[in-house]
Amino acid sequence: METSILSRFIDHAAQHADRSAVVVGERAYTYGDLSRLSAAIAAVLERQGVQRGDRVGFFAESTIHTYASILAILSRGAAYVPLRTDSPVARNREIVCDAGIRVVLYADAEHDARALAAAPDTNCHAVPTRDIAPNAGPLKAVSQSPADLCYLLFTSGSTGRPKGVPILYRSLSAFMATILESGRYEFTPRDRFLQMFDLTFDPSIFAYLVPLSVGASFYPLPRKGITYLEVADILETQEISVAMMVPSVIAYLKPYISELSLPHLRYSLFCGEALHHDTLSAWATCAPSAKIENLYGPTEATIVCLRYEWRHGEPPHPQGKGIVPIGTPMEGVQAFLRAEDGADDVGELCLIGDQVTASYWNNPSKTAEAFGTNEAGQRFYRTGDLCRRDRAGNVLYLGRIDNQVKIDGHRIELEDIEFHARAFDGGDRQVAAVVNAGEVGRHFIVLFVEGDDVDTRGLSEHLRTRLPGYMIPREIVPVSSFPLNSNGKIDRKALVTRRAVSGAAATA
Amino acid sequence: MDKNEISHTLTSVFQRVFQEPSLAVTREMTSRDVAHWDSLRHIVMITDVENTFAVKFSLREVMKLKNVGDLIDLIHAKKAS
Repeated sequence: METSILSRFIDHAAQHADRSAVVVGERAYTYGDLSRLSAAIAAVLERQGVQRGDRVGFFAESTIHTYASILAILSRGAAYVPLRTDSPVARNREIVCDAGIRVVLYADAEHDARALAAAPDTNCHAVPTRDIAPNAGPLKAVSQSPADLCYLLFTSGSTGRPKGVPILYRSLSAFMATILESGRYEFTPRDRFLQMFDLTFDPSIFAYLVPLSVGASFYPLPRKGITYLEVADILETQEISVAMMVPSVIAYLKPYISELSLPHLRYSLFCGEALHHDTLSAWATCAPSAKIENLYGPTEATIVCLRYEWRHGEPPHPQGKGIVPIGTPMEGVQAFLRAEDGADDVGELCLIGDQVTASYWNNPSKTAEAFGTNEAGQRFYRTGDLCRRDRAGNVLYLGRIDNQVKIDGHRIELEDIEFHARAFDGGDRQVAAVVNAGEVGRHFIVLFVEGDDVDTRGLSEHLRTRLPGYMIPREIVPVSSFPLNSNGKIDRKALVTRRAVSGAAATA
Repeated sequence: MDKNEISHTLTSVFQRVFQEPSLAVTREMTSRDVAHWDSLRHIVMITDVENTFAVKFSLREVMKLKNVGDLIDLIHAKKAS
């Protein structure tokens, strides 16, 4: 059956045009405002020749025009591709070329957008949205097939190039059905949602599309300062009732939790990285009315697909090593553990279901590595997450089986950094990127480089022209030789220990 | 301790925290002006400032800071009280 992922929003805009939809800083926009602005941007896209199935880029800014752009793209039956404003032109250029993007929308990122349009081989138009006047009429949407592409997110890739994750309308519709129709969440038009995520990170979709689908409002961070302080400010002053956050935020706020009071918070949801029991226990004291859940989901499985409800006052899980379980699969998702040795309680977490994409974008080799087909003919995704299943059926996260890391929720392949570091200075030096030892919220990247004549400042500048801001190493440390493990490979754990013992030897 | 002295000492703190020997604070400076001034470094900086000046900030005081000038004024007010 063909319908639009925007049908609920369009209905709310028609019935309650004066209701608040988005509050950006001091300015509130109604459903009518958002609908009419989206309609105007959709008309611009139509004039640009954007058709169903096309990929349209936009700079991930925190403006009403940015959210209207997303709705406009989806209303045309096209797929949206967000671009980071802190990524260098070279990185965004790779995404634009790989996705075949012809139109890039921007609100204030004129310099970045024009540089991108002028870059070699991009063949795209940069279209400003800031001065587009709202339409007289509301947004209308074309029907979408479940097999149509809905959005394309690019994550860090281990070969030095961003890896595209295509999500179809089928997958997003399955996620929305679980959130809105399972009965687990009782969201109402009175709810106020926090939107703390960069739009290149898929939990952002929960934070704006769910409220717009239930007639509620959402509050994006202004992104003018320090993230965790902005979150604390909005949670309190705007009386947020639904907040999905990365655990790093409450780790940063831990010294101040006793000063926070959040009686209006009804749902306190976490995703994106390991959630520590102690930090959560402290957090729960300032949100006594909140239903607290730890959610899990890679981008490949559409936002989140496992959940664990954490009860106020519950003790640490006996097998959790201080980490809150990620729980059980949400409706429509199957999860199983794939173990080399045949063990059935520990192994790589694999996912099946409509929420799970079937492949990467234009990347057969990575698709072959990460996706498989079971005996029943179902596609499954290998997450790379090593997990344990307890007797109650809850899944516990144990760690990664590869070199992917999370920093403040950002997913980073360390080989991506190493690829670009190796290319600097002739490409002859050995390099190894690691994450320092420490708890969530205290992580950063340390890059070790072979040699005693390393141009650390030059290397740091080089990486800034290749990688987004969150992937730039905090420290660059020259080493005369690398410790090796029993397989003759660089021993990353030994490097982490060395960093912990010696501290920073040199700095990016 | 006057505001010039606070600014001078604060420059030493910032050079240490942000590991940038040539960094000199100005009243208008914000996190956008300094490399690596992210959430983690902000916590480290605030803790270092509290230890260096022997003061303690509340969350609301930290939340209100818009730039380094506000931080200098806050330290000055704390030391005067």
